[in-house]
Amino acid sequence: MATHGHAHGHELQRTWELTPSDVLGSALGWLREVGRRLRTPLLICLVLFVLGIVAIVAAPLRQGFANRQAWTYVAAAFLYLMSTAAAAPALSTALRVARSHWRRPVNRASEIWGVTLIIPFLLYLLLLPTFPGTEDRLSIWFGWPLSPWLWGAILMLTLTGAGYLFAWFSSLPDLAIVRDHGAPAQRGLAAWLSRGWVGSHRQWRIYEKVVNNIGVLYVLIYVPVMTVLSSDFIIALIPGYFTAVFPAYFTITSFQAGIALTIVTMAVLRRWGGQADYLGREQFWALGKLLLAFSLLWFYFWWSEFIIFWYGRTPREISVLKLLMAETYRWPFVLSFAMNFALPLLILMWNPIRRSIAGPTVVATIVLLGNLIDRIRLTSAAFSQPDSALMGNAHELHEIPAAYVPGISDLLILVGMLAGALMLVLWAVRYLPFPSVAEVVGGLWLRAHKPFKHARLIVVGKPE
Amino acid sequence: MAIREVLGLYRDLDSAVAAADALREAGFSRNEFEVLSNAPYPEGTFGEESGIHRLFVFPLIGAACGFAAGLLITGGTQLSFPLMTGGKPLLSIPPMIIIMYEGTMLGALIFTVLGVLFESRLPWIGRALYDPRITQGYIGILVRTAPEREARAIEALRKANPEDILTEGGKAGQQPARG
Repeated sequence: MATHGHAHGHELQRTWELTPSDVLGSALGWLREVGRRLRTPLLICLVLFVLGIVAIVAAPLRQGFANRQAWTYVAAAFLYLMSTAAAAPALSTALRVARSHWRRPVNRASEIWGVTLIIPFLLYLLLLPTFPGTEDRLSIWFGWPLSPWLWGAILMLTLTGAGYLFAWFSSLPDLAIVRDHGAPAQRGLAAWLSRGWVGSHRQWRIYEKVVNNIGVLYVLIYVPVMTVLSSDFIIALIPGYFTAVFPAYFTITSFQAGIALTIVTMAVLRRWGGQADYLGREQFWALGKLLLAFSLLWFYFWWSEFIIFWYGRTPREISVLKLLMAETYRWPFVLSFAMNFALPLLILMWNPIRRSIAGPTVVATIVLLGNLIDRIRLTSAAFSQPDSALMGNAHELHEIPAAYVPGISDLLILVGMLAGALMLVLWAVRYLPFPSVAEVVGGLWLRAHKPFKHARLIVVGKPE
Repeated sequence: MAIREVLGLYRDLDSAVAAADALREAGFSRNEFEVLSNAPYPEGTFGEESGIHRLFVFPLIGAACGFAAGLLITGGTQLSFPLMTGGKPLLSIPPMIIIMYEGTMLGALIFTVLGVLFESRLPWIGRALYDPRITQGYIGILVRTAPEREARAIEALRKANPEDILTEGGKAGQQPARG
């Protein structure tokens, strides 16, 4: 049971003051306005995306799959999208399972990123031919036939399917609203996607259970996918990088970036999407705490790995440290350390900043940039190794390659693929109202206004 | 047996709950009517029981099938075509675990989709009565009953001040209800 009141200086969450028809009005207003407002950003993203595709064709594809280094920024874009857009729906699942009420307007802001999964999936298919078979090199696949190509692709396909299923099913009731009350251009697709949803008691009962189940399935697939990706894309491509901690580091820092992406999405929706009534300090404060916790975990997992290499000090371990942190990619590492751990800690440790809207938003933006730098650092280091350095089950990095400096085409690829993901989100929100009517109204039915001495409390019940 | 549908539309929750009560008083069982709304109400709002669903069975069956397929692909091929390499064990467990896990998750996912479609009766095939005002916040009470009980259902729904009562032939107020 949650209580709020003015008496203790707490901000009264505006959402709980609204009526169901206010929420529906906001959602329908969103549907009317969104097409006109998003036309220009959508067009810009489309142009950048097309430029990114042209850059992929002109640079890495033209150079062929044998030159893996040419694909560095395709891989960086892929891993960054997997660490941010693909991680955001996992956060939504965690919030749903926790059954808190403040998460109700937040869920859509994180689940909407599930619609972007087709882009990393296609990038992954493009990247697969750059990997040699695993018969004669160390990898998580132990030389299994058709690895990593077939089995990695099935894993990614499963995750992509789960992501779309999660995004679709969690939006089903709101798609029915678009079907019935959207503009004619919106109704066709919404009618097809809503599959004749009528909101019967049976459907609602199944809906609430299934959304949670699919979300949990998504997380259960996401974690091993990130484990395999961190192994295939980073660990197995750097000879001598023997670590059991890195996959955990990679997955945890992806959750951190997923939280950061959700916070930034919320800030954009609040500032430009008219969602101030739904996304208030309560949501930013709660996610800010989570972001701080995951920033501390960033350090914990990095330190757990670093200390083993640092104390081991064998030539093999020294080479890996030199490549990833101390010499070749020192500055990207320093930036990554500062932006993923030090700055979030130093900023979010202060209560007034954590309990604001601007504080968590600024830190989330820093974390998103820090994660990008980290993924570029790791991919650049891993994709600089030629096949010859890996074959024969190489146990050590004999020659530390020079740092990979991106060219114009690399930057175009990175920006283009991120813009492509954003374009899909901007397109999807034309069919999905903000806030989610089902979520927010479902919460309003559990609310009661109660006088308490000189204060007025809003009491929100647990559904079970 | 022919089934007739009657849909009562209510502006507010109190009227809709009163309509559900009136239907029960008129002898309609809970299986004969359904509440339609644009948001989920707390369980039991309309006096309904939780009911049983078999949703959890679907992903379990899917996961078991997927696991079995993964085991067959990995263990089966190695045992069918045994190739001893360097005296190492025939079954290579670590990659087998990954592939069996993949199979388990893929199977669970596919069967979850089937479970969702089956348990929530989607797509809603052959529905007769629906009104877009339901997604606008109205609450619909949809009665499915024998033709001879249709008039009784309309009478019960009317007791709770409906905004409209729709039958398969149109609005109940505009033409005599068939029975």
